[in-house]
Amino acid sequence: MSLKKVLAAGFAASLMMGTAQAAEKKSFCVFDPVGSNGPLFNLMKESKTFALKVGVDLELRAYTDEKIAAEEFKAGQCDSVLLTGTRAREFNKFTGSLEAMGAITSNEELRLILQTLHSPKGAKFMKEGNYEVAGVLPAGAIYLYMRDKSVKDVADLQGKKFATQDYDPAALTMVRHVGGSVVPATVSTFAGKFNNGSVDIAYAPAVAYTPLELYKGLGTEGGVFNYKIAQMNFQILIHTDKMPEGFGQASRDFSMTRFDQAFDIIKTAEAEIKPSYWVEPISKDHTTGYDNMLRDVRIKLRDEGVYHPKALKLMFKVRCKSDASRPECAERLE
Amino acid sequence: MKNNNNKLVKLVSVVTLALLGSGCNLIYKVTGDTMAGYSADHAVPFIMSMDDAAMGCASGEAMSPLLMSFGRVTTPAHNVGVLLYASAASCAEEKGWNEELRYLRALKAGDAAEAEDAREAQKRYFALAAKRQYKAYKHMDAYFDVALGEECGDLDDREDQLVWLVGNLSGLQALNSQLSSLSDQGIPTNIASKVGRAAECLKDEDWWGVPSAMRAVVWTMVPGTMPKGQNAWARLSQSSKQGENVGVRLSHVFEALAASNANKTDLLKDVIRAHAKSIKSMPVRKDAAMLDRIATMNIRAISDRMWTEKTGHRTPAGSLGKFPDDVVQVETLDLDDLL
Repeated sequence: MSLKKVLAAGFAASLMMGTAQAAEKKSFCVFDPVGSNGPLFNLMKESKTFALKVGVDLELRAYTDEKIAAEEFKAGQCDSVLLTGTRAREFNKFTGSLEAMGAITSNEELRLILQTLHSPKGAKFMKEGNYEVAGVLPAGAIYLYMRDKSVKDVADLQGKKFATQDYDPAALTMVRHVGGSVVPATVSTFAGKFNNGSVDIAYAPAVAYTPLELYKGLGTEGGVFNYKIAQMNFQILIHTDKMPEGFGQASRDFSMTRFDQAFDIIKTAEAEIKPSYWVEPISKDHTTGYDNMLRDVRIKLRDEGVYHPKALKLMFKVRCKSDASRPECAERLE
Repeated sequence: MKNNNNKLVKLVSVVTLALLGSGCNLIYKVTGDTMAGYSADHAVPFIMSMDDAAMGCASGEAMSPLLMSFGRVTTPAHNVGVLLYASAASCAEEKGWNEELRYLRALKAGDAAEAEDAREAQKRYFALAAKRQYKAYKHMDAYFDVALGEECGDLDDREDQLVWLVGNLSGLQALNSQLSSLSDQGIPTNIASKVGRAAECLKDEDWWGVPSAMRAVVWTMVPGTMPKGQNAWARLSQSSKQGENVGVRLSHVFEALAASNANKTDLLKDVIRAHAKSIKSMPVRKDAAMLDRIATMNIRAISDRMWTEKTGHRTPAGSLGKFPDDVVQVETLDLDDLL
């Protein structure tokens, strides 16, 4: 029996002991803009039975304010937490870079990256200090919602008001890069601002379209730009030292079983956007232009320390694996 | 001659069959119209005045297929459909709650397999509840035939207002049940915002504060829907009091739902206490006894969940409004003098 197998058997035995003995109580603070009846909280309830199997009695608490959930996790008041990838970046720069703009261009690429990172060989990237990412769940591609669909090109974005998550340096950089004007917003407030006309443009995944009635802001003149700005995700984080050994990987294994469900939700949500709202890029050259622009922003943010260079490199490899004819594959700047 | 007789027999047979056929259709249609009319005029008010929620649920499950099948031969009784499907959904919902209690007991006992099984069973019942609740909502949609959430239906009659109230309430419940089921039952996720706006079509004073409570619960759950200058919690509290004052305490359910959703445990306990106190002190309004009992069922379900999490069993008899971690002050005599 190899050492690896002995260790694995030992771990399995300790897990079995976990179920026989009283499970250890641990808190799990879940950000859900709706609250404890919301979709994320309901999904995270599933983790209770998985955790019990590994000897942990997870106590779920809902947070409608993501900032407070992140702060309480940081202060050690939450043993584990669920946050958006943007908020999670301060705890793990590598997984926090998975939302990098333009870095993942399709669901297939995202699935491949997540599967790799959730496998034991990806574990080294999931740990940063005492923080560990115990799962990443896809939330869908982020699109631009415009109240006026006559915006056809980047130049037209000059002076437009963007509902911007101003705690996100990447979003601030991007909005300023295209000459937009920053209107501070959060996950909970951007839709109201877009629908009542306080901003011209909002960015969000398709899962926000129907529940937050973004079609009200789109009205008769608006449109959704059919270009994936980034891939939003939710991340489960733990304080490694507060959880039993092996919990992080067990949780990642559990998260991986939820990918299909997450992708189904995203697919349904994208299909709900009224076809007439989709605004296609003018030409393939324009699309390549956007790709290049986002790459420049990524490199700038990498150099400023916002994005993790290895994460960008991994996503570059995956993009070129799925389409080797991309011009960037020869240039190799990431 | 024989040939002519044969022709006559054939003709008579065809005419008789045709008459019989149309006669059956005619009888079905008349029966259907009568049943629909009877249900709307008598069965529904009768059921609404019953104080036996379990029988209300059973009648919804049993009567829906028969009464709604008349929709094949005459105009469907959408107004009756709203109430029947809403009642039928409450059966599935109650089974779902019971599975949730089994799940909580299993978690407490550290039995992961039992917990997982109970959770799966719970999700199935909630999926069923969601389907039925959405059918109730769709019947309301068909009955009023207006752009829901954008305009009000024709609500001159109190009976129609009840259909509007129950239909919209079912829409909100359908979304919640779908979320609890973790499955896609085809319920549109903008239904909550639409219901919040549709509730504005009814007056609080006519419906025991429920319209405001429905609006306010949506404000607490859907980010960005609360109008400027409004306070959802104040509205919920006011609605609850309105309900207590007239003996139809449906608004308590909305206040409890909002409190539970926002992790406001102290408020949640206060709402349950207020409900328990009110059902003892304020007699139920006779023509809405069923809705009041359904409210109690919902409040008791929340209490049961809280009791089971702490103790492993549901709320003991006579203990609605009490909680396992309540500190009970027991007065005792000083015995030192006796020594």
